[in-house]
Amino acid sequence: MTLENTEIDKGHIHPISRAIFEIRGIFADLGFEIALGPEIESERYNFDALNVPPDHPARDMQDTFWLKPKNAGNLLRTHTSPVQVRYMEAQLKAGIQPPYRIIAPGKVFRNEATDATHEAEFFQVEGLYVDKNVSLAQLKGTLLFFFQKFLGNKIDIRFRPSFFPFVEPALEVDVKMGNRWLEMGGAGMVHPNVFSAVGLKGYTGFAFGPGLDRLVMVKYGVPDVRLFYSGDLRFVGQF
Amino acid sequence: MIISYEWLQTYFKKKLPSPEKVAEILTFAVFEIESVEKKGNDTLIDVKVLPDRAHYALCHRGIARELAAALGAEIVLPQKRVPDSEKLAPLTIRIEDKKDCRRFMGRRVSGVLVAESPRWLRERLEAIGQRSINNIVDAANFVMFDIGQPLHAFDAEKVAASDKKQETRIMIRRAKKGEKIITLDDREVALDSDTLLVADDEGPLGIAGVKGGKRAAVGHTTQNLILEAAHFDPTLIRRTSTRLELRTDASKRFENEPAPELVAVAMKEFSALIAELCPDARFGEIVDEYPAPQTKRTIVIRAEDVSEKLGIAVSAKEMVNALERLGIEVAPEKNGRLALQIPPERLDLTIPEDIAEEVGRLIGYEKVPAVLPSKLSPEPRINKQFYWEWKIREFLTNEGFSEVMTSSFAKKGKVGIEKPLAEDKSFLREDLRQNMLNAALAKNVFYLPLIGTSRVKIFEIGKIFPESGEQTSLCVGVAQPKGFKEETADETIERFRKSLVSKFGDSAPTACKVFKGEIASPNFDIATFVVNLDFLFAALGDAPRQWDIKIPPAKTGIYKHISPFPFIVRDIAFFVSPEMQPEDAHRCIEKETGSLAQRVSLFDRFEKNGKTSFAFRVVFQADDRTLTDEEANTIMEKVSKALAKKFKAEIR
Repeated sequence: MTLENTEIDKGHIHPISRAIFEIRGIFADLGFEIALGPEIESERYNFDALNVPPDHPARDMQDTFWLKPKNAGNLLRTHTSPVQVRYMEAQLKAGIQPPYRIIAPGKVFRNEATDATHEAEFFQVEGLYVDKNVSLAQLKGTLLFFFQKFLGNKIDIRFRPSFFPFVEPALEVDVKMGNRWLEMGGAGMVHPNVFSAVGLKGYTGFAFGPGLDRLVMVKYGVPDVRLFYSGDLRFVGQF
Repeated sequence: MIISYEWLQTYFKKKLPSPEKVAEILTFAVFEIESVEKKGNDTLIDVKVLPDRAHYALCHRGIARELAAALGAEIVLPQKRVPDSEKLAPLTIRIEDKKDCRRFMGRRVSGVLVAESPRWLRERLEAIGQRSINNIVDAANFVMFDIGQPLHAFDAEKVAASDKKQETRIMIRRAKKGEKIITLDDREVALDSDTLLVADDEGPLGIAGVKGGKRAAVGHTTQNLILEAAHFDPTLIRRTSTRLELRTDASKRFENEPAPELVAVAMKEFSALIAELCPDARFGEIVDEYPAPQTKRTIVIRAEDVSEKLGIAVSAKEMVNALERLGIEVAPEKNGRLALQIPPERLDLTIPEDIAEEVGRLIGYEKVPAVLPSKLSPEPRINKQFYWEWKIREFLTNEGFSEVMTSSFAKKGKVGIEKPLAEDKSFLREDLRQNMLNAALAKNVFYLPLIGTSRVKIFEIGKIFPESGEQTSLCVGVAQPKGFKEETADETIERFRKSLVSKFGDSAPTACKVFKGEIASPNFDIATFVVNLDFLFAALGDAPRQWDIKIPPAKTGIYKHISPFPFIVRDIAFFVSPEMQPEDAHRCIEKETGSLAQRVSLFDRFEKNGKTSFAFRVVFQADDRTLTDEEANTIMEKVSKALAKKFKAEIR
């Protein structure tokens, strides 16, 4: 036994970062690369290009933080999905056609009251695969692979019908841990209007976007999402 | 959308499965269910109707149709006697702009007796949380919650007739500047040209699609009615109700665009219900202004495309069966194509992908197999920014720094937020330093014994929002108790800054800013430095082909609760014979202190006169209460005794 000497101890990686680190590795095995995007977004990338037109009731699904002045149309991204659009645009601009496979982790914002399971700022991890003849079965295969690697081989997944304007069909993904089914986030087949918005023809794709905080809470049994942003080493030091 | 199970049952001949089972069936076929709750003799099912299906499913019939499709059953439509129409006083409808109002149907009714609703009607409405008002208003509400079309009834005597012809004109027009209306709930609302009105020659009768006016409200003395069933522009209604902060059951439906064809169905059912409630009522002819009729929609699909999209082999027969259950008529065309005739209320179905969803969900997503996409070549590239951020994390954790994450919101800053959650979150943070000073560093100093380190060394990587756009920033901070032996906080931060610079290149000096002597506290010293990572990374090369970053393995598999109660620190030092191993002492102390010891650690050790001295520190803390000094002392006495007995330890 050595003396406790914290000067030689390694520091701790925040559990959300650790999850991103692991997710990168899991998806690299499937050929997905990391893509990043800004936290301040324009209305176009956060909504319009994702098939959420102005004044559509679907805008209510995500309570948005608009930045001052509101008429400038800038906001805090409500999801990591804008990275899909930005990535595809950038690839096309560089003359690179699909297949595309990306994972886009990042912080997102929702204007809603905070409690143990809801934070106004949290992390999401977006996945996108664009190719000829992408199928829902491939989405299921990819998500099963990911959740088994991340949460353990014993888990199972299922799909439920849902609605997200940028995918069709749209799904909610549940993961079974022990005897409980837990909601893990949305997924689906990329809506043709998203491809039109970036100017891509003749392709299909799938996309998904589970919440990272929730994934980590489930993985380690963290009871309160607010612990992640507390800056408290009694918490971070456990990981 | 609150659905009454008993109401839903009226659409089915056979007894429905239990409410819980119905909820489960709907969950996997179409809608998420928020709750199932027994209320009196009924059960309420809260169905989460998302915007795509809100065209047709914000009502009992819409849900009944979906349930029938999932069950493979037929729904039974109510058989009510449709009253004959006769010639009553004339009624004219004028639509100013067909973009604002695609359809407006009006009808006179005379000789109604306004009274309390019969029990069945009151019960239906009250079950779903609606207040019963009178038979006419209740009839309008019932039909709205039944089929999803908002309706309105005016007291015909209070609607003005135009001067010359003694004819009543209903106009659907934009409000004029300066016009006002007193709504049914006694609110005076100032209007402008962004607001659509239902008006007569005297002025506004109601805010179209949002709220009725008080002037022509139906009351106890009302005998003659003008019924309204209409279709208004969804965007206009949404904007108006948002602007006036008047979200009503009607506006919610109008903004989701119910089918214009539904207007006629609603007028028929509204009339039939009034006829049932007021048998002596006489019904005028229906006036139907329909300048922009809904067209029939056909979607052509190939069965193979749907199968391919879903990744399941669905036979044409299965597909047709699923679609017909939704009321879609399927006609085979040449080349294996299918022409689908979409029911008018299904405005959500426009492209083949929508059909893939309908087929997939009705066949059941559990039938979709899990298939991995084939491997791609070449190997994925490594994102440069991502790589270097992780290189910094790797470097700093190797140097003993832990990573924290804090809020992106701040009390002050350059970028303001329109409707902040709280006053101290009105801006986006312009640096990481404030959070690090205020929250992270100072707080953690206090918890050092629990954390088990001699000082706090942390960092955060995150976006900051200075005047122009956003920037990726790094903040590194040190907080240490006053009198920390090796070096001051200022020296520490300077040392790590230099080390980071030497590792990450020449641009670092300009990207870096050091803040020494941050907080002058009698108990501890704090220093920080911040780095503009965008600037730093710009001068660095691309990421390598292979990912080469290693992080310390996770310490835990499961989170351990952090007690909110105070902790107590006790040290114990003792001499033992040199053969004695510290592990044995450690085990003995842990055994005696039990679950109240959060941490037992060896912090000093030396040899003297042929004996070894060990010093251990015990941090006590309970999960459920504040420990007293006496409790800690009693336990430490037990520890001393046990050490003395087991190892002949001489307590110092």
